[in-house]
Parts: sequence; C-alpha cells; structure tokens
Amino acid sequence: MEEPTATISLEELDPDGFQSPDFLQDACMTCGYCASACPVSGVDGFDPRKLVRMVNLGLEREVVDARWPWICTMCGRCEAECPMRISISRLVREVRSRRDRDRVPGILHKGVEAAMETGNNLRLPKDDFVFILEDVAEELAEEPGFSGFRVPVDKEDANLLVTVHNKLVNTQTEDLVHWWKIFHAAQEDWTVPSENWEGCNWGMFTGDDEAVRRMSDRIAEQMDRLRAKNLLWPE
Amino acid sequence: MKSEGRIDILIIGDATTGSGVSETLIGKGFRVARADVEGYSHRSRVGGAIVVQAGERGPEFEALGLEPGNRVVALSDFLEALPDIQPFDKSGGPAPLVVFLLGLAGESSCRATRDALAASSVLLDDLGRRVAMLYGNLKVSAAGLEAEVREARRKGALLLRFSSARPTFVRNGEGRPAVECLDEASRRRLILHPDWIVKDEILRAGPGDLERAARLGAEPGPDGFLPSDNVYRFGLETNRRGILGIIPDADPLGRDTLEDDLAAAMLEMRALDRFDSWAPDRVAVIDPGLCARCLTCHRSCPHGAVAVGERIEIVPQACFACGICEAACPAKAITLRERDPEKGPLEAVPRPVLLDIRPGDLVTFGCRRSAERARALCGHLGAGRPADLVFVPVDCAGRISREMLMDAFLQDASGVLVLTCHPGNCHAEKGNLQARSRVGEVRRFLEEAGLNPERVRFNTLAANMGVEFGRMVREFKAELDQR
Amino acid sequence: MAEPNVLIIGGGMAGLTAALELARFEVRSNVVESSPFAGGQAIGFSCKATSACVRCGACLAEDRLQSAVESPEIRILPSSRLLELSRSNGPFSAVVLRSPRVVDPDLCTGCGRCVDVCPEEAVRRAPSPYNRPPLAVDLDRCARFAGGDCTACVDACPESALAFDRGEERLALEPHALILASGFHVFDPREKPYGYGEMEDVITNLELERMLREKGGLVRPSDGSPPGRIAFIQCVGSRDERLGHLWCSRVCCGSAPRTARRLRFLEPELDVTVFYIDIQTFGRDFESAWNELRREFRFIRAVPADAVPTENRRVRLSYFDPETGSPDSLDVDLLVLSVGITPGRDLAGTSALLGLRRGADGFVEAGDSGNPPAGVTAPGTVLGPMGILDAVKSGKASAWRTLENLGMV
Repeated sequence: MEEPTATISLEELDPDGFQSPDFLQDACMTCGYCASACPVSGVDGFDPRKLVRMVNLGLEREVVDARWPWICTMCGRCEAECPMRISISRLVREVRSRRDRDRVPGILHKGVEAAMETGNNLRLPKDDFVFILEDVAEELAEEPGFSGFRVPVDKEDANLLVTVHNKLVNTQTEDLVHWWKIFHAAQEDWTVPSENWEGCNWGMFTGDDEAVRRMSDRIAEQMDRLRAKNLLWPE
Repeated sequence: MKSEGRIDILIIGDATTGSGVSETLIGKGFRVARADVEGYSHRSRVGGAIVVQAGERGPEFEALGLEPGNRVVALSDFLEALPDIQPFDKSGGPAPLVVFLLGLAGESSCRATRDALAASSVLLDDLGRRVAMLYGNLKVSAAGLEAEVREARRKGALLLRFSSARPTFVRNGEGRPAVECLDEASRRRLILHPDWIVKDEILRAGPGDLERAARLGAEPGPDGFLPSDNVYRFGLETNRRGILGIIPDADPLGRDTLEDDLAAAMLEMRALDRFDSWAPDRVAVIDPGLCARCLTCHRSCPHGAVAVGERIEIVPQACFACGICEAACPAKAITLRERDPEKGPLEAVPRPVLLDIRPGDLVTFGCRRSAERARALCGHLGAGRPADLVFVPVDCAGRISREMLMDAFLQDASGVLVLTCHPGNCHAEKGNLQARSRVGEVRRFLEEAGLNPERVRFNTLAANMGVEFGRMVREFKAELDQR
Repeated sequence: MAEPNVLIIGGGMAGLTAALELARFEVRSNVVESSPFAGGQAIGFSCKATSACVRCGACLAEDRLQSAVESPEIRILPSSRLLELSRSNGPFSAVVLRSPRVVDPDLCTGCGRCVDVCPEEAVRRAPSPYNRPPLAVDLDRCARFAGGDCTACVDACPESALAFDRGEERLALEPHALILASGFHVFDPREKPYGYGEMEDVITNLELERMLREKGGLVRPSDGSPPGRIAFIQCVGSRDERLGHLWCSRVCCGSAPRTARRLRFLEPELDVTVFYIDIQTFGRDFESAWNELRREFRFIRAVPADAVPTENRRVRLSYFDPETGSPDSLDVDLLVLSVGITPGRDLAGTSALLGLRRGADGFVEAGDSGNPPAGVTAPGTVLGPMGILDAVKSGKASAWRTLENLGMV
C-alpha cells in the first residue's frame, strides 16, 4: 500500500484551481467503483479514485507532477459505470496536458514529436513502410487460399481506408496478416495510404490536443486524396 | 360513553413539541389536556394518552477526545449561532473553514446530515466560508437527501470519509484545535485549521423518558423510547391500549414523520372512542367468588389491565383477551368471555378442548398469528404437513395452560408441540415466554411422573415460516416414532 | 353521505393497511391490485428471526393480507387497474378494468392440479394461502390466450373452478375518496455489470427472500447445493445519478445484514461478505446492532466492478480493497444484489389520473406539502423508498386523512 505523504494543509489548497467543474469531480462519493473497474488500479500507486479525489481536494500540482497518472491506459472502464458520471478519462487527459511537454514520459513524448514531424511515431520513411507491407503480403500470398494477394496501397475510390498502428509495421507484423485475411475473405475493397497512415494517436495519451487534431486532420486528408468512402481506424 | 368534561387525549412529556402536538389535535376537534402523570389508569376520564418524547441530544465530544467551547460546538448550538456569523470578506485572505463531524463517534442520523447541509448552504452561499464534512457513515436515506448532498458538493463542500481511522485533534498556540486526518481515497494526510468544529448529536432516551415509561407501565424499545419495537406495535402503540408513543426527532424514516405519526395517532384515538362505546368484544373476567387476591394476574398481565382495588378487576378497555391471566390464575377464577354477535351479554369463550384425539396422535398448540398461518402456508407450498396432526389454534400462546397440555397426555397423545411467535414478536409481549414456562413445568411434571419429558416440545416461528412448520412437526414426529 | 366507500389502488402493505383501518370505521373499500395476487412485494418475503424476532416486519404481510381478505368491508380486485376517473359533483366516477378471471376464487381449493398439467407453466401459485384465489393463470403465457385451444387445466380441475369464457370486466365504481398505494418498481440489475440473468447464481435480494420463504433455506440455483460463501452488493441501482436514481433505497442496509444473520443462524459456517458505500440506520437498536454486525460479517467499503464466472462455476467479484489500497477479487458461491426501489412503472400515468404531483425523482410528493387534490391520499412507496413497518404506518396516516376527507372524524 502506498504510504501517506507529508501532512498537507487544506487551507493552502485552492479547490477551484482546476477550474474544471465539467469533469464533475466534486460529485465523487468515493464509492470506489472506478478503482474496482480499473485494470491498472494499484500499479505504481495509480487508482482513478485517487486522481479524482486529489483534483477535488485541490492537489492539482501534485497530481500533475506525479508519475502515476501516466499509468492509465485511457480504456475508459472506470467511467463507463461511474454512478456520478464523472469524466475520469477526460480528467486524466487534462492532468497530463498540464505537464510541460519535455516532462512527458520519454517514449510517448518522442512518439508524438516523431508523428508531428514525419507522420508516424516511428519516423518510418515512406519507402520502408511500403516495402514492409509488400514483404508481408508476399508471405501471405504463399498460404493456401491467398495466392495473388497484394496490398492495395494508395488505391483510389476504395470502400475502406485502413490506418495502421505503428507496432504492426515494427514488431508485430503478424497482426497485419490477421486483418488482411479478413479483408480478403470478405472481398473488401480497401486501401492503405502510403503516407500519414499512423493509426496510433499518442497525443491522446499525453493530453496534447493539438497533436490529436493534426493527426486526425492528416487521416482526413488521405480520405480526400484517395476518395475513400469509409474509414477503419483501429487504434 | 363520551361525557362532558371528558378528555380525549392526554399529552404527556416534551413541553415544546407537546404544545405543538396539542394544537394540532385541538385543531382536529380533540379535547386535549397536557400533563405529566404519576400513573395512568384506564378508569380515568381520559380516552387515551400520547407520550411525546424529546429525548436528550448529546454531542458526546469526549468520544472523539474533543473539548467543547472555543468554537467547538454541538450541531444544534451551531444552528443557533449561525444567524450571528458575519459574512467573510474575501479580500481578507483564505476563507475560514467550518468542519462538521458526522457519525465519527456513534452513528449519525439523517437529521444531522440535513441540518449540516442546511448550515453549509448558508455558509457557502452567504457567509463566504469553506465547509468540510468529515463522516463515518453518511446518512442519506431520507427522501431527497442524496440529491441535497450532491448539491452541497456542487457548491464546494468537501466531504471526507472515514472507515476505520478517525481524525485527531491537536491544539495550536491559540488553543484552537486543528484536525489531522488521512483522506482514505487520496491517501493524503491533511491538516485542517477550522474556525468552527461542529459535532453531530446523538439522540438518546433521557431519565425522564425512562421514568415516564415505567410509571405508565408501558414497555420501551431497546433505545429507551416508547413504544417497544415489537412489529405489532406499528411504531406507535404500546402494550397499554390507548397509550401511544411518538419520538418527533428520531427520524427513523429519515424524514419528518411527525405529521404521519400524528395522523396515525388520531386514527387510533378515534377508533378507541368507537371501541369504548361498543365495549370490547372479548375480555377476561374475574369471578370474585373464586378470586384469592393472590395478584398473579396483576403481575402477569402485559397490558396493565388488572386493577387492584377493593376487588381485583380487569378493565375491559385495557384487556387484549390474550388469556395469559386465565392460564396463570392458580384459582381458575379467570375466564375469557365474549359477546355474541348481537352484542348480548358476555359468554365464556370455551378453552380449547381436545376432541377426536386418537391415542398416539401428535397434538400441536399454536398461536393464530404465527403457527396457524405457518401451517396454512405449509399446506399451500406443499411442504409436507403430516396428515395425522391435531392442530389446536389459540389466540395467543399465553392462553396455553398446564392443564391444556396435560389433557393431551391424559388422552394418550404421543407428544405435544407448542408453537408460538418468536421472542419479541408476541402481540401480547410475553404470551410466548409464558407458554415456554408452561412447557418447562410440564416437562418437569412428566419427569417426576416417570414419563419422558421429551414428549413435550416448544418451538417458535413466524407466519411466513411454512416450510419450517412442516420441518418442526416432521422432526418431532420422527423422534416420537423412534421411541 | 350514505355508505361511504373508498377506492384503493394497490394491495400491498400500505394499501391493505389503509383498507383495514377504514374497515375499523365501517368504511368499505375496493382494492385494485394490478397483479393476480394482493400482498405487495412483502407477501413474498421471509422471516429473518434468529433466536428472536429481528423486527423485519415481513410477518405483517400475512397478517394484513389475511385480515383484509376476511374483512367484510374490503373487496380485493386482483389483476385489475384503474382505467378512467372523473369527478363532477359528489363522488368520483371510476372505471376499473379487470382481466379475465380464469380461476373462480369461490370454487378453487388451491389443490394445484392445474399447475401440474399446464404445458406452458402458466398457472402460478399465490405467494400466500390467504390470496383469493390461491392460483392464477398468467395470461401472457397461457396458450389459450395466444389463440390456442388447450383445455388441460380446465379438464384437470376437480372443482370446475377454471373457465375461459369469463371475459374482461369493466367495473364502474363511485368512490368518495381515493388512495394511491401502487408501490414501487424493483430495479432490474441486468443494467449493472454483475452478470444477473446470465449467471444463475447471481440473484436479487427479493429472490433470496422468496427462496427462504419457499424452500426454508439457501441453495445455489444452478445446482441446488448449499453455498459456502456468499456476498451481498448494496446500492445496486440506488445512489446512482447515471440511472437517474439519485436516492438511497433505505431498506437494504437493514435487510441484507438481517438476512445474513438468518442465514448464519441456519448455517453457522456460512461465510458472508457485504460490499457497501455507507451503512444507513435501520431499527431502534441500530448502533449496537451495527457494532455487532461489523464483527460478525466481512463488510468491505467498495463497489465491485464486475462479476464473472470462474472455471469451477463460482462467481468472481473484482474490487478495490480500501484497506490495502490494491485491487482484489473474491470468489463466491452465490451473489446477492440488493436492488433499488424505483417509482412504479404505472405511477406517472396513475398519479396524473389522480392529479397527484410527482417530484424530480419520479415519486409522489409527500404528505400535505404535496398538495393532493381533495379526496386523494398517497401512502407507502409511491412516496419514495420505505420498509414494511414504515409503509404500514404510512397507510394508517393515509386512512386518517381519508376519514377527514370523508368528514367522518
């Protein structure tokens, strides 16, 4: 169990510091549903109720400076059944957004920076991306029932534009195959953009709304460029 | 039997609420008098009495190690002080804090929650104060209270919950206590420097309430207030007919129930008026020729219905016809009597007699309120009711006498089962306990006679225990059959 | 006014009590009950006594029902509802619609042969032997009412008590006063993530009551075995703004520990855990009772987030332990959900018909402050959550106000 900290004088805290009543953190009756629902409760001192309570107490600075709010995976289970409808994941984002960007945990911060600069979290050049896709597709084409399989990169007027999570072209290429098999079996008319294909929007995890917007806009641009009808955006 | 000068209702007890109660009743056309009494007799020219119990509200500071004074106050005192508190000028630094302590020493109540919320609202809206409520179990079961708590939180009241740990109080240089505590949810140790510390109060029956109940011969509940918590008292009636107990501030429902309590009380009083003029349908009557003045009836009557004067008499208006006195009277001088449907003279209610018993039968005596209903439910549920059971219902198990039990054995019953209401559930308060004593006496008697005392058994049950009725009878029968 | 009569909507604790109190003043009443059986929720409840009565009040249901059924002043109309209500000068004019009566209450002896032969399991046994009739046909299940020609129950009845030719009835009544005591609606916990409706061993507290009443003991519905460990989750559907139920249901903090004590009395080894938020006051000896209870059972101040089946067919609850500050789980053999009290489903319509105002929470506004129209009162759980004893007192208060309305007191 986390040991209590030094004594904090309540009078010195500004309960209005957050200026964010729309999160409804003041409604918390500490029933503990969120902490029970959270899959990472207890990891490195994180639990959603603690976060809600600390913000409500006016311990905003401590929460923003702490490492544990970054444990949250933003799955949203805590708030799905919160009886007081507290917007816990938005609150987590708000807390994270208030941290100086250079103090955002390394990999997330670098990923967002890379995405902003290159269009994907890995700084993967366009040619390398297409090469990986084609390489994996060739392997799949050797499997029975998939002969002649090709990846429709930058196909225009497709029904479905599919984004790619960077890990699928990094360490987990086998997951690409799972998707493709389904598309093949369903005879789907689909495409992958050769640029700005990143489906993983880490700005959401760092509370960087500007990055979230930029990444989303880029995908919209690809939709327009390729005149795709629908978007499949698996995180 | 209404007559001039007769008082419908005597209001006994709390002066403040009592006068309000009197006004309400007078407004409804009752003739009311207010008095505290040395005793109460159904023979007085009074229709009934309402005991208004204020109890005593104590903050019990010591349980938390708090010393009162210096702005450490009880909730009710704070409510009185509230109008004199001046608004705080926000330019003068951080707003002073008012801390409410709810349910941290002893359990709190909805009334305390409501009072604290009302005060908070004024403190936050009009007086520029900050508010923290430190609570053990937050009592919110009153109508609308949960929504009020939500509103207080919206306005900025901070609620801190304590499950096992408690806050501690330390004095600063000015002698003002600071509150140190661990906030459970955030696991942060906090220190609060309140301007006021306000503690909830716990309502307990005072010595006056207890004495009054004793003088009236009315049984209080476990909290010392009238009526007892027997469910057949409906939270209003006592063991003495016509004496009703109300506790205006107890908020058992978590809301102001005085209005409903009074409505129910007035109903009861008017019903008794009618009852008076009809005379009761069924009463116990003492035959003066047989009475030995031993006062067993007086001691055993749970309803205070036996008047001791030149003669020992049962006051019909007070009698519930439970039959406890009839079973207890050593001289057999008491019989239950009832009017015939045309309101004719009182006729003796025959004691339950055992006809048609065949040797070897299992005879069950059971209270109509519990055992007879459980028996019906047993049959309804198909829960295995033995066919050869002789069931003898009695209005109250208190009427079961030694003779009735022995009569069954004289007719060669294999066993006798006595089924009564659970302790605390008897309409006559102790008819069930009386029956248990009778069974004990018969057991000893059987033993002395060289017979097996296990042939008589006592069990308690409730009207909704049909399955259990079947089980009790079957088990007893199986044991008897083994012998 | 000659022969005053009162129309009572709802034959539960409050309605029957009001009827019985009025009967003491020789005022007749018609009790319109929407279900086939009067007695309200409480008539399905069990006794929680241990070695002594624990003041749950459940036995009063039997008392109220039997007394009402046997009272010459009271007529109970099961499977009925108020259809129309108007008032010009004098008494109200009410039209009550009564569903077809398949079982004749005067002929039926409750032998239950119809229950045994019905292929649709449409014949239901009343909760109490004092219900009249003690059996009723569920018209939604009966093949006959779905257009079939089954006559199994009619043929099986030795008393010729069943018939399909008795149609719907419209009863015209002229009551001098009305009492709305139509009770509450039980929260359906399917909305909550506890697997209710999916796992057999997840039941509501009301189902537990009925099980204890009808079986006399506790078993797992899935396999009939006695459970070794059970848990109660409190506030299921209560204290919940998301559901629009921002109120405490008031009765569960009393009933769960009382029931737990009863179960422990029957099975001393039974392991009981209660998940709760705040314990509410119940009973006159609450403080001492609570101090004992918290040692007798495991009370965990947490709301579990889900309940899932384990491989060995138990129910696994996950929760955040407030004492250790870490996540934990508990496997139980039976999970009991203390479900909330919510406004009756017909309350909006009926209260509008009677001109009664409802508060933001959907319950009728209490007492005189609710400004009921002349001749109308509303006792019991139409006002908000309350237990049996409180509903009885509320019914008495309502009877007094009705007598006032009738000018009789």
